[in-house]
Amino acid sequence: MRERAVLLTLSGLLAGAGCSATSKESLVPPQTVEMDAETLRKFQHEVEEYVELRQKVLTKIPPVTTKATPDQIAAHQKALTEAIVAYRKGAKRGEIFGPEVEAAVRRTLHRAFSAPDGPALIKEIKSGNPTVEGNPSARDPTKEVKQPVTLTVNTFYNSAAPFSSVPPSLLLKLPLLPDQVRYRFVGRALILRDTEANVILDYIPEVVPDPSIPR
Amino acid sequence: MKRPALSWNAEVRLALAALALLLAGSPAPAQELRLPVKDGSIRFAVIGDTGTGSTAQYDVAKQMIAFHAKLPFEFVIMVGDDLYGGSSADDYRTKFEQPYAALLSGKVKFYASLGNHDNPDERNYKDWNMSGQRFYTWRASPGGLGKLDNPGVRFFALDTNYMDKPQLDWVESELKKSSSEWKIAFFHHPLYSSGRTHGSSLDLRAQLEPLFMKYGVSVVLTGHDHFYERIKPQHGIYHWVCGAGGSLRKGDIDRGTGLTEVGFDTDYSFMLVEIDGTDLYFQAVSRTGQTVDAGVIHHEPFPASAAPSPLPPSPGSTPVAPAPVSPGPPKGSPAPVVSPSPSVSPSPPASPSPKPSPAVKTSPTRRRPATPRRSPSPRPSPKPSPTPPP
Repeated sequence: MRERAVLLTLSGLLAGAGCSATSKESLVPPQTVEMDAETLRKFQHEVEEYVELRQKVLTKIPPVTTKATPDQIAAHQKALTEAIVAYRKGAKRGEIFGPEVEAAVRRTLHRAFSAPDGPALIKEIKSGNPTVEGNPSARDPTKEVKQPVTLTVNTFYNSAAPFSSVPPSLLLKLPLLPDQVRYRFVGRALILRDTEANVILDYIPEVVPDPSIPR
Repeated sequence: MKRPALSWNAEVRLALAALALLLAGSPAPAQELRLPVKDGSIRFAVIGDTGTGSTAQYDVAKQMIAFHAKLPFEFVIMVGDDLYGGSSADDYRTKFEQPYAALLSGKVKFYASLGNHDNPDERNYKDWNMSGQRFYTWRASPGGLGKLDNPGVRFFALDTNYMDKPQLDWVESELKKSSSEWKIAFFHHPLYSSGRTHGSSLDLRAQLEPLFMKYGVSVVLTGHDHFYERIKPQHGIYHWVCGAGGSLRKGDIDRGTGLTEVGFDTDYSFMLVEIDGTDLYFQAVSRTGQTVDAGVIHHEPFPASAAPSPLPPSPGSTPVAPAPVSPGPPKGSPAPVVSPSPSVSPSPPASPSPKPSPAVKTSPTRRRPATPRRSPSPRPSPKPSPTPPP
């Protein structure tokens, strides 16, 4: 399949301010997404549509300020989550990660995990991965209790569960996302999660080639 | 009326019960303070992996309150996992507001970074002073936070849960802009750690360390691994793991990494820091108030010509001296302190990222990391000091 590296200038469209092109003096590597330009455009379009929907939802729920109380934060999140789940009722796997996007993401991750640094990347993905790690128990914080995450589109990501690490070098190879949405790993799957609504928007199963990670 | 005589055992039991009641209802008595408490210094505490709501978290909080009476620190750095198991209003109350109530009412500010157990919307919480940002920076100056007439100490709170390109660009830009003599980064995932459970975040290190080296970060405060560890200086940078403020992994420090300067993994802990000019004093304290580590690191002032500009000096300029050297463990430390085995080589662990220089303590030059994309620029030369903390 024809592939070419699409640099930050394209994926940066989603990021908005703060996403400057890498200058000559910068030590920060460029965003290098190995994805066909049309496939990347489709993915960005799906994500943009979701963000637009989210913006509409935000106008209909109580706002949260940057000096919020715990009650305000909790109320805002609950309202946001419920509204998004209602708006996206019937959403299915693959609607954001379309077939071409999924194939390109799989190739990217396969290359990364097959590289010499692959085992180190997988080790970091295990860190905080909810199928691998739990929370310290309140009764005895030297012991951990796992919190299950149901891997289903348009469901609430268990707020008691931790979040996996996503190694920065992988983030530099995947399409850049706006602040409202993030990649995470749950077990061996890559998920797309709303940052604050805590909703699983889409996922790609079995992308981490490590059978020691429970599904 | 004559008081009935008690047996010796009964009297001891009564006395112990009375003592227990006293301790339960009031702040724990602070043990010896090893920091100098100098006029005009910047003082803060560091806690990590706190948010369990456990008795242990409350015990550590009591020690912080007790030490605050001796060292009135102005703020607390939180290195993530501030709330475990959810972020309901009740979670905020029982895992943060109640244990640290005395500090909050005493106007002590908390500056949080987010860990992998923290919901990102916690950045909007008023008492964590994140202003709705997942990564942010602020400056503390002698005589008041953010005072403008002194470059002071600049803190960089990062979100290592998601170190994407916009954040990396921001880190570089903000570090480059800062003329502060002390640049302190804090975040959740350690670039260096001897934790068996997690250990060093190598991929993160490969991205951040070259920036820290080039732009003069002196101190890195992290958590994630549930113990206290002071790492041997790596490329002139001091790294701490302070992840036992409410969680603990007993015996999790792998003594074979060769990274550990001092480690403590048998009880919960927090750290106190005092910065006075070019000196940074630190003291790590256990849940029972025992000092498990203490020392001072020094930082030479920036050369006058370099002070306003963090840009690298021209090629051929004076090589950089090693990072400041801290003294050994505190005198008479009563708590168990893990030291690396003498038979263990102090050489760096196998890593694809920049490797620590074994010459950092003794060589007058800094080695280049093994794999940075560009060589880091020299930094102001710190000097070793054998001076123990006061």
